[in-house]
Amino acid sequence: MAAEQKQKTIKVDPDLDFIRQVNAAGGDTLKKCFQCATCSVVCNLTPDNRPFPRKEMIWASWGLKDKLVKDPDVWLCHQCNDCSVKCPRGAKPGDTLAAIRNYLFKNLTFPRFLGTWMSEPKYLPLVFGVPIILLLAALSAAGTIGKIPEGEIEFSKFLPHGGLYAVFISSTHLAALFLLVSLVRFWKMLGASDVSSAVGNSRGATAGDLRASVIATVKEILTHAKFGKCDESKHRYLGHLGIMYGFLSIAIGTGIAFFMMYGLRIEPPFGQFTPPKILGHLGIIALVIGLILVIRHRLSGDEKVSKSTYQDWYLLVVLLTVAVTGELVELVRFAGIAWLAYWGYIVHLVFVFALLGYFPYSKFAHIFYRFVAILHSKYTGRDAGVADLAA
Amino acid sequence: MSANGKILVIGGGISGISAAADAAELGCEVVLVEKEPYLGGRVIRMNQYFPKLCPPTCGMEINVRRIRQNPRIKVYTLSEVEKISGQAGDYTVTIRVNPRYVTGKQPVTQAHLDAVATEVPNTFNYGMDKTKALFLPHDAAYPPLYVLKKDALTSEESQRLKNASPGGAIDLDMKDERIEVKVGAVIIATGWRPYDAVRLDNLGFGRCVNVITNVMMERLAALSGPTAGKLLRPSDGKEPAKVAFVQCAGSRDENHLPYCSAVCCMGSLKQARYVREKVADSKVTIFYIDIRTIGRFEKFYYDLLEDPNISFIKGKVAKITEDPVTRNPIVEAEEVIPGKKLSEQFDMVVLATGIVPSIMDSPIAGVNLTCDSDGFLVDSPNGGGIFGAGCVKRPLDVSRSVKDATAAVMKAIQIVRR
Repeated sequence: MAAEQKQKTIKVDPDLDFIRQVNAAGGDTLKKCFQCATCSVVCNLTPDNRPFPRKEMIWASWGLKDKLVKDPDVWLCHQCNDCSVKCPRGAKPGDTLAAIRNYLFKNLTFPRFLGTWMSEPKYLPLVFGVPIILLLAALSAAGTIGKIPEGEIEFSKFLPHGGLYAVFISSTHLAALFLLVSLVRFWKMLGASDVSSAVGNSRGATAGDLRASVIATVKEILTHAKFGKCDESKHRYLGHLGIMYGFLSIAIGTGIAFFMMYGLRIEPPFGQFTPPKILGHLGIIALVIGLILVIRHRLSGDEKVSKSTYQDWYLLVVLLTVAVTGELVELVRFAGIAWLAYWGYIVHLVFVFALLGYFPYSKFAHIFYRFVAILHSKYTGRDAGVADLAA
Repeated sequence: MSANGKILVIGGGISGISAAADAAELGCEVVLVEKEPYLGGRVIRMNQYFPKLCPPTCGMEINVRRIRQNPRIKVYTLSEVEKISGQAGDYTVTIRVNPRYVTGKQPVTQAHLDAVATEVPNTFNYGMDKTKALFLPHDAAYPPLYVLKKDALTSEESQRLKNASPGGAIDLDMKDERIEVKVGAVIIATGWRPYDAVRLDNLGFGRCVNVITNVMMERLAALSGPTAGKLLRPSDGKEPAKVAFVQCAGSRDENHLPYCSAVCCMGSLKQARYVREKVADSKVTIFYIDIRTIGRFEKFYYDLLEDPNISFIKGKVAKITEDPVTRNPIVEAEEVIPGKKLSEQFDMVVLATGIVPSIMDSPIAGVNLTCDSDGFLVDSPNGGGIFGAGCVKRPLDVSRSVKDATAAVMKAIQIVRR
């Protein structure tokens, strides 16, 4: 009974800067929350024990950054917005949790200035300036600036593979290294979180078994099982599925291309009916359809339910541009317009860099943080209670 | 003094009756218009007042006597104001009197009652039971006249009624009538209606048979109600041993009523006592966001906290489903302290639905009334002669409505005696 509840004094030390940053990152409605807990009930993804997002709302409101940084639940949320639709106050828990994730993209990975670059449009000149300068440097090293190569269009004649790799392999590998470090740190923080150590977690089938947890996590992501449980945002199931499989298809195609080039010593360009090309084209179709579904819904979406942030648009627009420029460059190459093909290729590469060069600091990183958080929830048995209730 | 010293009071609930009686006792002529066939409004349908826990007939009896005995008051029941024209001090009002088909010239006898077999939903009891199409709205109804639902009758029944009414107790040819009166000021006391619980789609009202609303609970607990005061749940007529109250069912919710309805916390605390008193060893759980008991009413809350069979859970109920076998409602909430999702079966669930100003449903033609963003009436800002009293202005309990009515009379009198 309420009157008999043990009275504990909790000293709250609010991180005001954190509150301001979450506000700016899309959480400007969070202060409307009056802790009625409707959100935790209508969420189809939350566990029974210490459910989200009601507790995240008060943590964010009180500026308890430390609790949120190590809270796996922020990442178990797929922003269905069922909570925001039913919220009696327009506090939009769905947007608030997205804003907290935006904050984490910005602040979790070393070096932090890159996170800052990705958080606001005013840094766009820097974001795009870096790949432009690097690629121009590579071109001038190859001596091809101002000189369109003669003969059959072959991109390595314009930008030799050495220059391409110098720009991309170094930047992406460095970014991956930084990401890996912060993912390890993230995993450790999750282990120490209040949520996972809470007594009374129902033990799931994969609890304590890392291998089984990884398999369950991969299966969940491949089937988009969580997205399927969303009521309000059912459309995102298909859209996100298209984007994910499109991207995977292109990535696998690229891997095979590397194998063909360096394992089998086949010189590019490859024929249209080789695996890299087939996977690439199919991937682009799936990716673009998925992106159109998602973008169309974000544009027509009800502001009352959810609003899109800069981070959302950055990822969507850059992805779409990568896909479209990639396909266009291919067409121009067939059309034989050399200057357009070569410079189009450079534009395409600038956007590829904008996508992959900064991946741990943009919303792109959700792939990895979410993977770790879902894995953690399987490993600790935290997600066992979800199925019970949803069933 | 204005050319016309009369005051029109629209609405015969506790606010309207109080206003009419106050104005008449101060020497004004009063016209009181009530839409229902009886006076008493929402209050007469309560089981008990909060916090004194006496039946509504207490205060109502005195007030009705004040109305009945005062020759300055003219009461029109089953009537609606169709139009108001003119200005402060000189309004012309058109009143439509709907046919009651019961004349009052002769008493309705057993022969009349025997002539009618058709039953209609009993709106006085929020449709929880049925009544003959010829009925007295309730035991203490004023005016003490029967009402006939002519449209529900079969042709044989109509014939039988005609045959039984040589003295003219029933007149099936009665038509609606229009009356024009001139008044100096108007008091709007049209009160409130409960928020339509069907619109709270996740709370199961209308789908789960044992989910009822707070106003229905008042009728279930009342001796004059459908169960003669026994607390019985709708599905099987059993006494509910485990009852949940869902606070803020629609209130404080942007998707429904953005404001606090101010009285539902007190209502549920009162109804928790009904359950505890009527059903032995019963258990009550009240789910709330905040318990809002103002002033001395807080003591009532503290007293309930002492009862080990009443628990208070902070956490709004956001989902109610039904067990198909037992028809028990299953309530889902997050218990905020300690932070745990809860899914629990109850025998019956009471939704504490909020207050909607009735003026929203039926605006009055001819006058531009100012309402606030929530639909509550704002007193004429530029010195007109139209004033609100009671729940038409804001959610109020009975005693505050009565005081508000007196205040409205003071304003109206300043117009008619100018």
